[in-house]
Amino acid sequence: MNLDFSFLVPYIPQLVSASKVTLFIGVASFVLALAVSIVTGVLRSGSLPWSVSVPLGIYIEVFRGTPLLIQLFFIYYGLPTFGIVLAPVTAAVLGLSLNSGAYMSEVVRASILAVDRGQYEAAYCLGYGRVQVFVHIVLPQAFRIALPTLMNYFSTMIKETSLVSVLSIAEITRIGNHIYARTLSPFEIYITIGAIYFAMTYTLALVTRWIEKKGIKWTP
Amino acid sequence: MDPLIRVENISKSFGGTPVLKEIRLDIRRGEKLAVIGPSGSGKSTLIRCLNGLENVDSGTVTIDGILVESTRSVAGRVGMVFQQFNLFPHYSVLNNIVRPLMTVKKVGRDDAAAMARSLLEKVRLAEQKDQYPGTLSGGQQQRLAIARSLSMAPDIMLFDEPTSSLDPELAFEVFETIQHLASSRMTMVLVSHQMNMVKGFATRVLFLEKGIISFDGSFDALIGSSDDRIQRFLRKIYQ
Ligand SMILES: Nc1ncnc2c1ncn2[C@@H]1O[C@H](COP(=O)(O)OP(=O)(O)OP(=O)(O)O)[C@@H](O)[C@H]1O
Ligand SMILES: [Mg+2]
Repeated sequence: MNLDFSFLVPYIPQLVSASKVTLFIGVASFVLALAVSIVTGVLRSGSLPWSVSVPLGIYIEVFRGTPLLIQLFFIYYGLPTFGIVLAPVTAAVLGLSLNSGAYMSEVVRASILAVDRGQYEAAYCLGYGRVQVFVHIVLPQAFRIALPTLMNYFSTMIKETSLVSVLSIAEITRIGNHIYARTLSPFEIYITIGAIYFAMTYTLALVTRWIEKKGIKWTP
Repeated sequence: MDPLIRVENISKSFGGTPVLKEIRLDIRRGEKLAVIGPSGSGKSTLIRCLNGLENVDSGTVTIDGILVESTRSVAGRVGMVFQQFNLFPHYSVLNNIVRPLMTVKKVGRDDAAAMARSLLEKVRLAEQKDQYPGTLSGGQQQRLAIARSLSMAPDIMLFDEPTSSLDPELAFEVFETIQHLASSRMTMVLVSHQMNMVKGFATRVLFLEKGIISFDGSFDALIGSSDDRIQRFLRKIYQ
């Protein structure tokens, strides 16, 4: 077999701009998912009136219990039935962030609950109020517990952006398919596309490791 | 003189099992009270009721006339040292003292740091001020926990088996720190299984058994007690 990547050279500008789209959707979705998961995870870590806990529970179960692809289709093709028409990228970011937000919410909640009871007791004895304990003592420790798992979700989300190619967004999977249709050299193209995803997720893994080693100075 | 801590007929059960039964107890200002008794007799529960970490089912605890309903009632006035230290792992040694002062007492950073340094000096941890609790020995951690409690300038200090999770020599350095504090006018309550510690510390000893105070007196009187159960307990502990 003869491998030749040179035919890809003219497509470099397309691949670069498609990578930017992938990165944008991945990062925007993660940031939104993080916001969603922190709010819902914090709420669900305490005791809530059922009027809040039931809707939150439904959101989390539904988004974890159905395929992401169906959620994307529903948001992009289904919502216009209710008069909500979204641009493809907006629909993609919304779908990805609500989907991952549901999973990450449970990570946030579990991390908060994993902080030792003794931390609350010591803080209360010193005179901390409930909010102060939460902000100054519990959240920083929960953050450390949650960090590796959340970053793992980030990496998963970048890979999941390939699904949004079905909404005809010019991200790298779709552009890869285009190039394949023109050149009929699947091997080189999909290796290249795979390498681009890998470069992104591996960089993320390095960043995570750096934060864990250098960014957080304390050990439990 | 009115007692500083007044415990009136407090009862407490967990899941239907009574742990404290109608306990009455007055603790005078400056007293050094040790609480001993078999495991599960309710010692921890009793001292946790004193600062509101546990809610009583019935009866009342008052400190200096203030009804203790939750930790908020007496926060800062009653310091507590735990068997498991419960230091804040995400704060440096210095910040374990500085941050609570800033958060709770709204002390400025510089003043808080000066107070923290002098407290660390007292518990001989000045050199470790920039380390994190996770890097300290157990004895150092407990001394830091003591210093952190003292930073709130409490009138009362509660110790729940402060040396039980430490090796003997580390336990001794913590004991020395507590002993040093005991020479002050502070009111102190210590739960401990270590009789040499109780002996050196206490002006008064309680023997708690199945949620009832079955002895209340001096250490010497405890040793000389003719009560069977106390003698059996002491023999077991001295072995
Ligand atoms: N939060 C809780 N929930 C349920 N049961 C509890 C709780 N705290 C204490 N207990 C029970 O109450 C009883 C008394 O506990 P406590 O911790 O006060 O005993 P203790 O005298 O301090 O024992 P030890 O010497 O082992 O520390 C035990 O049977 C314990 O299992
Ligand atoms: Mg105990």
